Amino acid sequence: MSNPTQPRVVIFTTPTCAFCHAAKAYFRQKGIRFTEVDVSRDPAAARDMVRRSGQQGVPVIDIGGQIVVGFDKARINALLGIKS
Amino acid sequence: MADSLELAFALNNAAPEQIWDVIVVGGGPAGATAALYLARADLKTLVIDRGLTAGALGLTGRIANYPGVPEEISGAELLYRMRQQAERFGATFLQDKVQSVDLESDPKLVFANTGTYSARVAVIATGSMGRSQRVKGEDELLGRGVSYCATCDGAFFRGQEVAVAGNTDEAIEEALFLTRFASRVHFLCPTPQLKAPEHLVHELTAQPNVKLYLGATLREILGTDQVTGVRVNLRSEGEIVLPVSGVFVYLQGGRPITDFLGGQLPLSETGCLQVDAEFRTALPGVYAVGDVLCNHIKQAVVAAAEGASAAMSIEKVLRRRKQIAVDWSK
Repeated sequence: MSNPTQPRVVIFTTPTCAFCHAAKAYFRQKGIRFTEVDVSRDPAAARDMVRRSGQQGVPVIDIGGQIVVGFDKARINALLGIKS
Repeated sequence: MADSLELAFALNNAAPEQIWDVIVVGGGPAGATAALYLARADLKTLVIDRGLTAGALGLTGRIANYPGVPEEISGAELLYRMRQQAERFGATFLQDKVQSVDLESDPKLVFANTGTYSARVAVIATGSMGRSQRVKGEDELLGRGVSYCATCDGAFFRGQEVAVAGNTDEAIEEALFLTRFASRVHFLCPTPQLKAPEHLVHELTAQPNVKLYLGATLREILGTDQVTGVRVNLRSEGEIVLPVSGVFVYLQGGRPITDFLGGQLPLSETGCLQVDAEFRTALPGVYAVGDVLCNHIKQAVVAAAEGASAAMSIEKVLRRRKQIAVDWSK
């Protein structure tokens, strides 16, 4: 079940990115609501993502203002209170 | 920004994808033969492979000892024939790179760049041409200009100079993708010649924004917070520094390719997967064949035989037979 108080989750992706697919599958499995930004179609969002994260690779996940680089399941679990 | 994020909420609920009977990771002689036998047994079979010349057989110049093929042909040609034969029986081949898997879920999940694929059974046939050591600066600058996936990260390098290191069809395809974004692509081929089909080589060299360096060894990736260049040794000219902001690495080595498994299967001390007599790994429904195994004679015919054996074992399990069927055509 979705948690109504979960932090806002934004995932920056491209359509051809395996760990983006993996991260999204994990969010769906855990009932986490998320917003997806396809940086390949939005150069401004790509620049914004690089500025905020220092990363030039996807996925980058913003969980309530905390930046997670890559599909780092342990960090995602900690920030969202998911018990593994 | 917040509004544009909400508007971007679109690709969130993709329709459930089809569940394959078997997904084979790796399309070398072991994987292609497994697919041939599986498809012939009418099992829905998907092979995900990085490219015809991405593995040991595809890179081999001449094969003269493969039984039943008396003429001397290239490894890539032999492999192409194997794949065509598997496709004739209904196997599907997808050129993509598997980055991660979830082998304990049901169905098993395979995460590739183009999407997530599900199957009842997974066969690991990734070979043993994985890299054993990194280039100086590579680990530190990963995600900060260093990437292993142009189709994932190419969009971050619009109007910038990038380098691609590799010599296979996979490296060329990725470089061609980058030509859409980058102002210049420096292609660093470690060998004196590219090891890829002729048409791909022509396509690469015809690109106005590609510069090809043959016999070019990537020595170091430069930069502190971001990539600022690469140090390259050229056989002809000695050392040069190229001012690039992205480096895409597709180099090979001699280690079994198991990194995408994320520790889900036990490895031997030498990094090889371990199986029983029917090529079953420690996880139910997960098999491994070919050069990714330990103490293995690295010959295409042996890898192919293992693919066939595993396929027959898989068919027995999926069809709930007590014994392996000797010939499915009856």
